[in-house]
Amino acid sequence: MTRDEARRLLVATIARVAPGVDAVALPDSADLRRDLDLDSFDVLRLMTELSRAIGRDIPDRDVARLTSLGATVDYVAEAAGSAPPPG
Amino acid sequence: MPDFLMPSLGADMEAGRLVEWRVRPGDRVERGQVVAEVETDKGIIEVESWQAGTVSELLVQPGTSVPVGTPLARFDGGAETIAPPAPPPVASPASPPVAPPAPPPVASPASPPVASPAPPRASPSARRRATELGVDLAAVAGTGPDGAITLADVERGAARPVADPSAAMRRVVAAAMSRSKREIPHYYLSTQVDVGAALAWLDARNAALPIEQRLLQVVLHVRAVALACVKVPELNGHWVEGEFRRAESVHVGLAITLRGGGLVAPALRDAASKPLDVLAKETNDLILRARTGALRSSELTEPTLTLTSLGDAGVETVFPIIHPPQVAIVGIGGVRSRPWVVGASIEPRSVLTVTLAADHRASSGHSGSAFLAEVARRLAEPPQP
Repeated sequence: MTRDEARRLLVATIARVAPGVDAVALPDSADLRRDLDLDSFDVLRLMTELSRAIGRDIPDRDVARLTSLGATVDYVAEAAGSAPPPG
Repeated sequence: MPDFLMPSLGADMEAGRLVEWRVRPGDRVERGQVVAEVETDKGIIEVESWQAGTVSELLVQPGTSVPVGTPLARFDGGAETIAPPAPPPVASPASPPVAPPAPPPVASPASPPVASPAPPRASPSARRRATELGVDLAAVAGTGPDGAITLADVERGAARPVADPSAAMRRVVAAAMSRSKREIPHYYLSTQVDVGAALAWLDARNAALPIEQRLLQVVLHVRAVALACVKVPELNGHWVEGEFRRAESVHVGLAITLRGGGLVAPALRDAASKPLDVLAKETNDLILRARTGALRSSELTEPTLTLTSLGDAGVETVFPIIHPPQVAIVGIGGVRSRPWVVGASIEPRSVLTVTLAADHRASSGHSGSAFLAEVARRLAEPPQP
């Protein structure tokens, strides 16, 4: 998955998990918890939906270190790219 | 069988708006089955029937706002009416009566009962968004399967800016909290807890599980509070008509903030007796339904005390306000690394502050202290049976 696609996926997932939060215009440095006002439940839900979208689990240690928008985009782009093809 | 009345879903509720019927005339309804969606200041609530029967007539059309106690539907067996179990009333002369009043007799000039027309078919998310935006679904063109209204259809249909939908909820919360502070003699006890062992257990458990099965810290908080209620039941119940009524069960109300500034504290039922993984699943489900406007009426009226866990917000100490007619509320702050005395030396430990606010008419510092000590003991250790 390209970085742009990953960013669009992340923004759309954030909008679904936290209606009213529009991450489109936010910089990569934006902190998910502080700047997007996501609490631990929102983050768990976000990561759960992302793991479904990329087709593999996101380990807890990764969830903990994915604090910024940019880091999460990079993670999704790389993880989706390396997922085994369906079927 | 008695009429189904507009229920009171909270001490402050005076009226509700019927959003949608979930049953039709002729449907067989079981006790506890969701029969309607009602909009209140707390959002859209799924209302359960408190008895079984067969629906004979729907008396109120979707979109209509009616006072608490108004008959909404008729069930087979006649028009006799008995009030459904009301939530424990707030002990205040100024509050409106909580138990629904007896309805007028059948022969009165009520509007002729009509079977309500089928509401426009819309996805649940479309329906909720329409309510948030104040969009009338009947005026929206549906582009989904078989003409069903989708979320995108509703967003397109919202042509003009609408009044802030959460302002009403903030007013209700403000009124309830003001009354609580005015009428309840709060006392406060607080203690710091080294939760390192519990957190280590939690991290190890979560590291070994796929994401869908991981536990949030708050589940451990709920369990600690629930078990303390079992040990010190003087903090678990309601202040009703001048006396404390101990609750038979432990239903922990979890304070959940909503986007837009609202607050609800629906119940996690029987929190003391459920296995941890069941409690975790129900907690996640409850938070999700609170935020998507899909709570059930029983969840709003059943809490026997409340927990407000504000660690995510970065606060150290919470000084919570009791939700009447409950008599206690526990506040838990965020975990911080703090110097801690261990033996003869000082080490950094993961510490949080837990506070109990309790009604001094119902308990004293003695039972409050015993309760808080039990909460602290439970928080400090990995979950034990």
